[in-house]
Amino acid sequence: MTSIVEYMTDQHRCCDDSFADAEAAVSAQNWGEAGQQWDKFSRDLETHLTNEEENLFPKFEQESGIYNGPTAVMRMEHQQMREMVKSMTKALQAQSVDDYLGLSETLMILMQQHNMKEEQMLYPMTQQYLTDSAAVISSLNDL
Amino acid sequence: MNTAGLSLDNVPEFRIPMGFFLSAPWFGMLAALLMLISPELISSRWHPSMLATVHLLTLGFGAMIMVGAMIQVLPVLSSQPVPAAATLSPWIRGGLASGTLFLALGFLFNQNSLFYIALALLAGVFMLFLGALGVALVRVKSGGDSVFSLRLAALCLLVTVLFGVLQLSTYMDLNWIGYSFERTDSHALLGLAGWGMLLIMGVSFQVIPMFHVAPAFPWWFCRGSSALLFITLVIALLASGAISKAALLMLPLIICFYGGYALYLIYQRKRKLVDYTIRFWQLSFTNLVLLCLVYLLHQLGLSIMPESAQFYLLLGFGFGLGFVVSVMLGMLQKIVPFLMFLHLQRACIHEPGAFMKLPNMRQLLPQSDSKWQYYLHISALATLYLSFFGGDLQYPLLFVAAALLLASFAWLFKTLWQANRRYIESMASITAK
Repeated sequence: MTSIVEYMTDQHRCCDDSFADAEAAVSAQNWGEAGQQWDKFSRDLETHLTNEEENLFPKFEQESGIYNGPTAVMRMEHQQMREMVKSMTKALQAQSVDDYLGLSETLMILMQQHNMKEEQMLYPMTQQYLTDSAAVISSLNDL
Repeated sequence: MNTAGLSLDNVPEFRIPMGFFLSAPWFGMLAALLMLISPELISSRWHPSMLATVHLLTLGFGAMIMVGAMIQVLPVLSSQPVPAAATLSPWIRGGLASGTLFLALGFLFNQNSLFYIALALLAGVFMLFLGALGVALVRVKSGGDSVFSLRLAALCLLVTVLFGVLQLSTYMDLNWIGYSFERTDSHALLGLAGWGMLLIMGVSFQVIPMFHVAPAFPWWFCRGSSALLFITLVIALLASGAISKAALLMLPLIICFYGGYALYLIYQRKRKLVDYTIRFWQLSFTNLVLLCLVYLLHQLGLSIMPESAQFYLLLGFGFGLGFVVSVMLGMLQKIVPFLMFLHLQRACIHEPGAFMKLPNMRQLLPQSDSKWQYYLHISALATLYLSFFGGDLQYPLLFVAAALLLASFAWLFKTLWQANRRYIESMASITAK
């Protein structure tokens, strides 16, 4: 049976794939491919963040009673990521390789750092409080 | 469970690690200058200029970067800051810089008084640093695989410094201590294969997957390789005869396995863009694996060089400049702009308009600067290796290598300085609003 940790971690990896593909396409100035991969990434990222903010985090907060803890920090970081995604969409539309790659470098590290915190701490904590993994996962949106 | 790790509030002010990073290149330049002035230092590991060069590189450049990085990295990895980092840092930096200079001058002029000053400064600095670091490392509750290696690295540093102090006692006619010069190898081995190697291992477990979207190092590999390296090192130092020799054969095998596995994980990374940090990692691990292999062959009687003393010098420089310095140069290209961005981002957390105008990582530290750094370093390294096989041309080749090394360290300073200026300007424009 898939755990919450595995399910959410898989979503991270899925986002990484389209992110890396978009970056490689921009680097090769293959704008058609870059646009497709970037759309997929932005869509998947938003689905994942919404899964967390509107579903997983509230459930965790309710069960654990921790409202101003890790989930608050994660929400703040989500906002930072969304700001960066907006800037990157602009860079992509302007077909500016340098701007895009400079921003993608930064967003990539931000995301990886964020993912590590979630995968190593927050998801295992969530799993401890929300024991019925199957029910939680079925309420989340797949990518 | 440690939820404090989810906060960035423990990250030290940027000027703290950057102070160390901006000081280090000067010592690299001084070491290169010494090599440039007296290339004959390559004739022996005991040559005064050689001893000065080695310590300018290991203490002035290596330890300076490592101490700065440790103060920065520990709170990120473990949520546990090095206590009083802001107060202690200027003292540690100043003490390390002046202690290293006095030590190098002591070697060059063989003056007891210089050694006494160096001893007081360096012993004080390392006591201060290791004391603070020790408190942080003991306090960490759930540190993970990286912290496991960092703890072992700190232990090795402590013993390296102790050996170093004893080593100095022989220069200062303190014979009553009874320290024998034959122990020099232990001092070098602990510093390079203990402190340097374990620290890099601990950091690599975290940053290679994070910066390059490579598969994670499995936990058993992280714990196993660090613990095995540490135990083998202890056996090599404490045992004698055949057991010690066997341990000295095991060491390169473990290190080689780590280097090979790291190269494999890097190969598996998802981001395949041109990236000089990844090239530096590849360069350093390739150096590491090859050095281990030639060392093993040497132990089996198949040496690439006729003279053993020269071979060990090649090994030492290869490990120091080819592995350790390559890793540091690569990491600086990534960590410095990332930290800058992180701090700028935090400064404009309530200012969404300012956030959109923040310079990105490549604007803070341009890729063209990293590219030059890579080519300068790799050409210095290649010429240095070549000089060992140059016969009559050894000194001229070393002269060229030293000039390239000087250019490489100067370039590093220029890059960091300019990046820091861009950061300060951006920060000023945010706070002015």
